[in-house]
Amino acid sequence: MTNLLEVNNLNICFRNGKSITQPIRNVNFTVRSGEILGIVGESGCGKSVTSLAVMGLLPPKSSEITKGEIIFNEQHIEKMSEKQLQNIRGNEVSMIFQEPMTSLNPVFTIGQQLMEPLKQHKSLTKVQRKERIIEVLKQVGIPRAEQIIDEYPHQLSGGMRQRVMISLALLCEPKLLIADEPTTALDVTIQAQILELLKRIIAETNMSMMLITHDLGVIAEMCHRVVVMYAGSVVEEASVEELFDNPLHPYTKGLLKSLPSQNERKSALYSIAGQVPRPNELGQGCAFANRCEFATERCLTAAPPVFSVAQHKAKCWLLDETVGGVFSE
Amino acid sequence: MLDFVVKRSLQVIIVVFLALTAVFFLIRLSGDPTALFLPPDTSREQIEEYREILGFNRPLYVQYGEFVGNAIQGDFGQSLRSGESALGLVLARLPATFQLAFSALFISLLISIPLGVLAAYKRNSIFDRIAVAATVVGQAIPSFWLGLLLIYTFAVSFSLLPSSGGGSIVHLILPSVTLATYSIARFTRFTRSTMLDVLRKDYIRTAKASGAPTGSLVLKYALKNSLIPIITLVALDLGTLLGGAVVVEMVFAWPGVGRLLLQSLLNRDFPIVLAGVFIIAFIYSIVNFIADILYAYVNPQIRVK
Ligand SMILES: Nc1ncnc2c1ncn2[C@@H]1O[C@H](COP(=O)(O)OP(=O)(O)OP(=O)(O)O)[C@@H](O)[C@H]1O
Ligand code: SF4
Ligand SMILES: [Mg+2]
Repeated sequence: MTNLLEVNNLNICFRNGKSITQPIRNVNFTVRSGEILGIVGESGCGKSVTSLAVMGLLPPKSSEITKGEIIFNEQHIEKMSEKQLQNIRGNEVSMIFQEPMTSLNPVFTIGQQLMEPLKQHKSLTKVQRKERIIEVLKQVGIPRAEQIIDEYPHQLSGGMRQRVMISLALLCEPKLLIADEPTTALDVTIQAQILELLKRIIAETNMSMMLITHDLGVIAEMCHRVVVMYAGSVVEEASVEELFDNPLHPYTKGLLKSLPSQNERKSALYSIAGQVPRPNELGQGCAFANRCEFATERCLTAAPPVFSVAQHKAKCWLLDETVGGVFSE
Repeated sequence: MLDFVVKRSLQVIIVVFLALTAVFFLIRLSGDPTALFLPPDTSREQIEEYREILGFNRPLYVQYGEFVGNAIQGDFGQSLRSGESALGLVLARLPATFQLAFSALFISLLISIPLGVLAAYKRNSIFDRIAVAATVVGQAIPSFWLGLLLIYTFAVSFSLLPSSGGGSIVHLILPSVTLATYSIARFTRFTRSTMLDVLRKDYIRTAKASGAPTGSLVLKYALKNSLIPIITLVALDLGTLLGGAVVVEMVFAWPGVGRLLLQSLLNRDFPIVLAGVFIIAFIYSIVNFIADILYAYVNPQIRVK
């Protein structure tokens, strides 16, 4: 499989007045064509910032990619002009956001909003555009597609709006679909439907997907491979089976332990003690050291590199040669 | 919709009625009109005679009752001075006031919306900073002072434009610019802040993620969303604009309702004052009524309900 997206050694800084924070540190991962890559991690670990960077949607004045590269389909996203980015967004890469209630414009009809990417990227006649819109609305399981295009977002339920968002993303048949917590804001039953839909669409097309979530259950259900992020870095990367069977990083182990299915009989859910350090609180050592039950002296003074065991990578000193990891960077 | 119209019509009636009642009692508190327009050496008996003819000697509530009874039939009485119909006199001045207020509105919209959009788009640039500073000044200048300044500059020093009177476009320039200055500043600031707010919304990010170019993001998407609050503000300010016309009409001797109202107030020509207040309150309410309908038109969320 070829790599559709390569994120290499990505570093992102935010400037707010005089204070500078660095929420993304040396992030590496790849998305292969046709696969669903899951990105999982607690709130604030940098999942959304990473995905916005891939879209070239970081706020231009207050943020900066200080180091690293984002190579999509052999093009460097981080070097593109706004004009070049506009040609790619909604066309080759699309994004679905977390909040279906606020992500559609309240003063334009669904049809008007779905026209935009087609007008922008495809040379179709008005009739062809409408046909395409109805086709995609049907593909995402919207009943009464012909009527819906003349309705306004507030007339639709949250689940329907998220389907509209998905159809918006699919209109131009992108190569990569980024879904940033696409179901977090929805009811459980609707969540399952939407995930099922996304899975079906990926299977039917040649598209790849980056699925961002903090729910390992969703990862298990949907993804081929997983990237686990912690405090702005990738701490583990593996295939789904491998990650669930043989987690290597203590943080991943903690996440798996907190899944309800594994401690059903306990009265309270397990949760990892302590707090994620904020970007400006990170010191010399391992970012997870303050919460890690295996932390040693070395963890506090030196940040671990990435070790790999076959296709499985983790950023933890426990994988030092003694355990059989190979220093991979 | 019908429900809405009926409800709002009732509101209009109540507002107008309350305004008239308040003004009726307020001007009566300020004293008896007869003494003012009779010569100083008029004898007490003659004054009493006049009060009787005009009905001012009766108890206030009786006069009020009679006033309301007539007003409902559209009769506001005659001018105490000229004997002409009070309402007729006011209506005759209305076109001039409208002309002034709407020219000012037109000028302010023409300038403030593009200026506010541009300032928001170029946020924190030199242009934005200058625009914001200018709006602060524009909102702070008292209109009579600005009026005098403009008269001094353009009429006295350079003799480019007439300083007073009405009747032609040239006469309209200085008063409408004077009246517009405050609104330009206010609308510009408001457009800028509304646009900034809208540009941060999730749906703008969605449009951006669909590849919409910056131009259409700002001019098509964000502007349409901003128009809802802008129209509301403009409509609410129309009343203020009509009111502001009163002051400007005095400075430039513009022959509108405001000038007539002020003159009549000084002369204690009560029927004209009440007819004027009636017209202004009525127009003010109707304007807000129309604003609500417009608001519903641009905001589909309200339209459906
Ligand atoms: N525009 C911004 N300016 C400054 N800091 C930001 C900005 N956007 C995000 N951050 C910071 O970057 C870090 C990562 O945020 P991000 O939104 O990527 O987290 P996340 O993993 O998506 O979390 P969640 O699960 O809550 O969505 C956070 O510390 C956040 O405060
Ligand atoms: S490097 Fe040390 S502190 Fe960090 S996760 Fe591994 S064992 Fe824990
Ligand atoms: Mg997020």
